[in-house]
Amino acid sequence: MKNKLTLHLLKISVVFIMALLFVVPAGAQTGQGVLNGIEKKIDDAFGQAFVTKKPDQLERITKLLKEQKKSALTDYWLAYAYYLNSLYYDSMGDADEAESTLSKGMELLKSGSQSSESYALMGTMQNYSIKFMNMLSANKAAEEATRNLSKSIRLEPKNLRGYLGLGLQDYYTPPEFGGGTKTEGLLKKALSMPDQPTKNPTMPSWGRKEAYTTLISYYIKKKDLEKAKQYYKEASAKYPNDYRLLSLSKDLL
Amino acid sequence: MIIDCSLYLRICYRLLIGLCPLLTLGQQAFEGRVVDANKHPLSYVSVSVVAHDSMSTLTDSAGYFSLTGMSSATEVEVLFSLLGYQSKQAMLRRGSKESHVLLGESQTLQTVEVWRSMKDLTSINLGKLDIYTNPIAGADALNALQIYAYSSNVDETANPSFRGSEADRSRVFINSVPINSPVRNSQINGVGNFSIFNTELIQSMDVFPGNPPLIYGNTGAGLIDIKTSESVKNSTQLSLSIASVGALINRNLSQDAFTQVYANHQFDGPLLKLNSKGLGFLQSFRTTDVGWNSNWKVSDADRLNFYAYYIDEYAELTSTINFSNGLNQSGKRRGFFIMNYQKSLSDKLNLALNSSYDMGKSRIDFLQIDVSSTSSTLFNSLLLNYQKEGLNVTTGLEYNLQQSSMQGVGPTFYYSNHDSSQTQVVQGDFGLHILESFLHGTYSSNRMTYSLGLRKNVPLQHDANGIKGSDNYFSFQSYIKWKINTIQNLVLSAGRYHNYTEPNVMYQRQALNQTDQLALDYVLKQKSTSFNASLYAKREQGMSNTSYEFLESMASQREIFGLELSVQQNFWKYFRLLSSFSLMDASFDIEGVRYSTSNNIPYFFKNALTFSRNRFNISLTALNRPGTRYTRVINGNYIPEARAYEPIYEQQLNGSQLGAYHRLDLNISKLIPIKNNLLTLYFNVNNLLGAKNQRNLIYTPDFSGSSFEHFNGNVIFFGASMTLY
Repeated sequence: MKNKLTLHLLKISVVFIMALLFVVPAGAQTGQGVLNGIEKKIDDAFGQAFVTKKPDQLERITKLLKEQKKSALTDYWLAYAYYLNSLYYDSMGDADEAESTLSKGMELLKSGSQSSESYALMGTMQNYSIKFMNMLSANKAAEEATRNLSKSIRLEPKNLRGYLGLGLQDYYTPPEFGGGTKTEGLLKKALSMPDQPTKNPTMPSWGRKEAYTTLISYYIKKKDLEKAKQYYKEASAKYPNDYRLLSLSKDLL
Repeated sequence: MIIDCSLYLRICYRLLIGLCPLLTLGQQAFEGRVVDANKHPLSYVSVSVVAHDSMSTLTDSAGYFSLTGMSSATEVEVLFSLLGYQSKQAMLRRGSKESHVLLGESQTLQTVEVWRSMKDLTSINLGKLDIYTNPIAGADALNALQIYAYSSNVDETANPSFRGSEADRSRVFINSVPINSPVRNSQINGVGNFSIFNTELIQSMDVFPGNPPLIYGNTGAGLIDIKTSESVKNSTQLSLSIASVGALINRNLSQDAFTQVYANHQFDGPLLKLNSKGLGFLQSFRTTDVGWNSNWKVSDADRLNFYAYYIDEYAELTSTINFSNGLNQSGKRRGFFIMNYQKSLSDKLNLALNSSYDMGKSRIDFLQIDVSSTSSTLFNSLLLNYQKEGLNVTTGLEYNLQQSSMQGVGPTFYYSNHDSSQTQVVQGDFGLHILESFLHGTYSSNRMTYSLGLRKNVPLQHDANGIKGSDNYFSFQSYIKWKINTIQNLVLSAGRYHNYTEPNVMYQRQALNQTDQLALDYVLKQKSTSFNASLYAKREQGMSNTSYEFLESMASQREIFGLELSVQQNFWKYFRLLSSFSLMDASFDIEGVRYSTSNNIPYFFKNALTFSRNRFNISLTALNRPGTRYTRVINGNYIPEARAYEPIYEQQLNGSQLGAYHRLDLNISKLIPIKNNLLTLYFNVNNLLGAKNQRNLIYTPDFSGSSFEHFNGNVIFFGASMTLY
């Protein structure tokens, strides 16, 4: 009994010491909290919503973010969470809830800090908001989205998400309005950018997957299967299990 | 396996002793605290070693961080980054507890956009699509303004007139460079029916109907700053209508440069044949104009823009000026060139250089008036802008040289202009040197923004006695903006402004005008609804050169009070209603007696209903207001040397009023994709109901009888354009 206890104490102590060994030199991760790695948390919750058919996890993160001290960072991630939540509602056919959730996110960005990342997210959300709009407001919203995405790039020329937003806008603009002429260049430019202009676990890094899938779709649409396959190969090496990439594979066979 | 307590203690001791060097290493940390400009701690700031970005940490809720793991270095270069703040690199010393790092807020885009736009202040921003979808504009940039409550234009011309002021008190700019006479087919008093701007070259317009920032000079009653394109899509546009044919080419020359070139020719044949009744006063016209706009991003910090324009125009119309009715023939050739250069000297300091040269030659022939004019304008400005946190300061120096000369003949007596009238030589040389410096600043804190602008001229003008320095003036302006919440703003603004009138054949004078303004503007903007309300008061001194009312144009004091309400509501997915109401009380003073101005309108309703679906648009626009006021001639007194009757006016200036003005316009357009190209068809009917809106009174030579001159009747216009990508 005594030996068992001793062994147990020894195990606990070794674990404690090893934890000390790894944690302390790693740099005293003093700021660990809800915002550390927040993008992955929100993305995972978004995926979870489709599995459970409920956006509970997303709403829980939204609640947690609201409890944080308000800052440009919390506003950004709250807006991003609203954006994904809106995408979820829209895919479930609840357009009213999708629109209202999206509006909440856009309001946050409108009133908050004007950083390159905020402009990129705002432009992306504005482009998406067009589907809920009165036809007479759609052109104006597209114009504002372009302006915000351009501002994002002007503030940070290495922002992948700024180029991605402009690329998506061009891709979805009908050709008779000049769409599709800049898609390839913009998305290639997006892919040439780092995930983050400055490495930071609290800052956004999304967009590369979307840039790949849209560029591949663009080549498929243009019937340039060789280039589509080239980028598909590159993308699937990076994201082997991404369902959007997998769904494109049938068009490449 | 048997392990007793002593063995356990021995193992623990040896583990701790063995790990001591590593733990000690961890304790000799690079430490510090990150704060913002207000010394508030910043949490979640990423702190990473530049040479080893895998070595990083985040600041805690009190802004503290501790970086360990660099075994031997005593100093290390670290990058601090946080969304919403400017990243910063700094050297940290091991063990120092005093490392305080200050992060500045993100560079705002005013830094790189201050020259492009001041719209965040008190202006109304209209994009290119706002112009194209405007129900009354006919795709013309300046005509687009007439649907808004702040436009008090009552003569169906394109010259902008804001809040009751005459058009020559407002100014139009392209990329912050002033453009005199921004209209085509201009008449004897300088007003015209269409702007000289091609909407395809416009990115947006910032409209300041009230107190504009004193970054802009020589304007007394609001301004419009037109911003040219920031980017283009490679395309060619061909257009054909019953009155014009044109082509426009947009080309990206490289990733950082583009150019736009166009040419248009306007002709009268089909338009006048189809609208012989509605445009009965118009005999003929032809215009040829070409334009060029090029933008070059020299580097991330430098931008260059070139804009050039040339027009050759001629028009013949029957008009009534100073009681004489006859054929008014006017022709003009004009060209101007604008260059804008912008440079970011640092993330806080920017420089802009704007230059333009404008020259023109015109001739006007109206009965006994036959006057040729030449004009040239040189403009140069140098601006410096500094920004830090909520502070934004711009200072600059501006020089504007305006020269014009007129030569010809005109009637000796203003009321006697017919074949046998006495004439006299008309000769005038005008020179104007405007040298001004300005300082303009805004400071934003939380929901409040404060602004102050000062502008002072260097007196260079000579008065009638040849004494230099007669034009000493000082302009100032201020506003307080309260952002009530994300959808509501309230702005209280006041200012004193100065501007010079531009001489024309009718009014050959170059007068200095002063305007004092006070305004309260409220804006509510939601997704489907926007609502604006404005209350304003103005006092204007000086004479106007664009007034149609001869006596009123002599008045040197005007007071204007007004209220504007407008609402725009989108509904049922495909509909939009734009509705505005303005109320104005405007009067002028002559020898201590107050009279109503000709445009003193108790009410002005503007309503537009638009339906848009499947690339089909239809809109109906209604404008309703009382008629303008005028001074009726009650009798004529024959003057032998004039060989004409001199008018004897009613006692009360502007004591009479024209009939109420009602106009209903219909606009229809359809966009048809053809492969990857776009065909646009449009059909407009102005004054759909053919209302006979009175414009002026025409008298018999002895003033014993009179009849009315009318605005356009029913006018049909249609055409098509094809955009090829």
